Amino acid sequence: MTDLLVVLVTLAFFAVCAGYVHLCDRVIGPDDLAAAPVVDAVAAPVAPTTFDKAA
Amino acid sequence: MSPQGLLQFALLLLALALTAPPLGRYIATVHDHDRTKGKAPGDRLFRPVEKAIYRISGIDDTKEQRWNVYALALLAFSIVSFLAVYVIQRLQGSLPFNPTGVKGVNPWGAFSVAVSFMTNTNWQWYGGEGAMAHLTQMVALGVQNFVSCAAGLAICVAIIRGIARRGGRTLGNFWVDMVRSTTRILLPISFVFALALVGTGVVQNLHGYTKATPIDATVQVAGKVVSAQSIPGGPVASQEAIKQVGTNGGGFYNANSAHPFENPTPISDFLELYAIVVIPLALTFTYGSMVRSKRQGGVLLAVMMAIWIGTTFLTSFAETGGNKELTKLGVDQSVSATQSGGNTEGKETRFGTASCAQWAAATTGTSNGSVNCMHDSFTPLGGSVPMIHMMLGEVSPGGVGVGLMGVLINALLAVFIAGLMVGRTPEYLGKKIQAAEMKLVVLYIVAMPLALLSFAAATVLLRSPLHSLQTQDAHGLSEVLYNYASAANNNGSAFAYMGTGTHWYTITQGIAMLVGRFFLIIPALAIGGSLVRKRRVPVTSGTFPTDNGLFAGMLIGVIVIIAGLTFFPALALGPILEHFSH
Repeated sequence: MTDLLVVLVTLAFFAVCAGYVHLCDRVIGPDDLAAAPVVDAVAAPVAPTTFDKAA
Repeated sequence: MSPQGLLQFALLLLALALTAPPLGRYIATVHDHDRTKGKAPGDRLFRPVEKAIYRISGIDDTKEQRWNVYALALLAFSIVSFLAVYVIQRLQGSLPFNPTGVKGVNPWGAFSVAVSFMTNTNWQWYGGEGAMAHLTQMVALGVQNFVSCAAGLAICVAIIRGIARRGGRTLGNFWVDMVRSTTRILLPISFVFALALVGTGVVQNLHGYTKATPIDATVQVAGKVVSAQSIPGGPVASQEAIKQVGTNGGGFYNANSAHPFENPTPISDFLELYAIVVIPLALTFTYGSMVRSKRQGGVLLAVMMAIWIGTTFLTSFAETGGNKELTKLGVDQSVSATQSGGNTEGKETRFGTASCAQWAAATTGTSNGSVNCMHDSFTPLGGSVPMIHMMLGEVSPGGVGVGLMGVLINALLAVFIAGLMVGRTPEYLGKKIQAAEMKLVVLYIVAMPLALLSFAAATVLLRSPLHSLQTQDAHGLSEVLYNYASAANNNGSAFAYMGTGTHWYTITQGIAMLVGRFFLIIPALAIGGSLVRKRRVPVTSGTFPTDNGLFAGMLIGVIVIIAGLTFFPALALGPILEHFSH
């Protein structure tokens, strides 16, 4: 009985790991998204802020 | 450090300087399929063996995998590994090659051992000579020593491919990477080391207990004269070789590498110490070769070496400086012709204090965990250094594969912080580091401390686990912290006084080992999978260089600050309090 419990606990952990793989895959998104051009933070035009206008 | 200790450390560095670069380049030729088109030295010897393995296992070695398939293959392999080690332990009493007649291991104990060896931790709550049959040592534990290490190496080269490749979707084939790591790297090196260790006197046989009559007939134990001794044999040298080469660390005997049958002479001690760090350091040269930039590999090497050498000297300083409590008792702790000097409690006289300190830094900087002295006998300061070394995430130089993986993740965090400083999207080797990668870096960095601190906190809050401690004070907390640092970092070394054969420790440490392995590898692989899809952007004047001393310093700072912010409160209540209270 304990053997069964040990195996079930371990398999449950690996099921969580498989879910974690799926979660991480959602974080990085679909492959075609990565092919999109990257806009550099400095190169991109930035709209003037209220502070800039006041100055 | 004593002159003898300095000489040994200098010789170790010289040996590593001569051998790690060519070994690293060899590992690159084994795994850099993009450049070698699958061809590598030794193809005539290894290729037929590998082909046979692929054919029997139904592996298509021409097919590469996306990162998630690579990760699922690792999980599937780990499940099978766990079940195999678990079943063999439970049935060992009825299986052959059991000359000492040991019984099957209890279920939760077997769970702990199976998880421990499958995750490359090799934490041992048991004494190997009394609890494990030879078959279990060879077929279950010995095999895991190879394949758990090979899996770590496979993960590492997959992540390197993710950084090195310029667009694409795949990171390689897990099965091919693992088989090639085993056949072409780990088996040949371990074979040579096993022969060398046998040459120094390490035991290698299939004997049970050999009965011997002590020469000194006056020796007494517990008031009784010892008239006979039972000396355990076994296939030790073969196990010892992969134990060190693969940064596994699980000893054949309970005393691990302090046992004279595992580590009989200063020469075997030197060889084993060298074996612990050679592949992790060589992998920085593999990295430099695979990303086509030796300077990038050099920076990672410099970071690893700086932390490793620093901790080695700190531990040596603490241990060779002696023990205040022994000084109060008037014990002579000076270096002389008849003793190595310093805090010699729990240390082997044939190795000395300096060698023990060097080993402690190497075994905790990697995921090895073997010991040639008892860490629980260290001074509070000396004992805190190996503990902190593990808490840094074992990146100096780290376990085989997983060490380089850890330092690469910290490098991504360092370029992100540098990017924030200069106001540009951070890049690493021409790949933009964006929100997705940083989310995964955070998941990676949080997992180990979460497992370590949660279980340590639960242990001190519950009453029954505290009975396993030597003392319920600052030193007791140090024991708890060390144990979970060891488990969550897949190290396996211990503050050995603490009894961890209870259900609480076998189960919680088993879970900590699982989290420390898979909850780090999965986000790291995902980062590789994300980076591999990105094309390299050209270097501009705004690119933060990652191949110079400034970046190396910044990387060391990031590693130290993250660990400091996470663990300082716990360390203050443990080893730091103990140090200042004596």
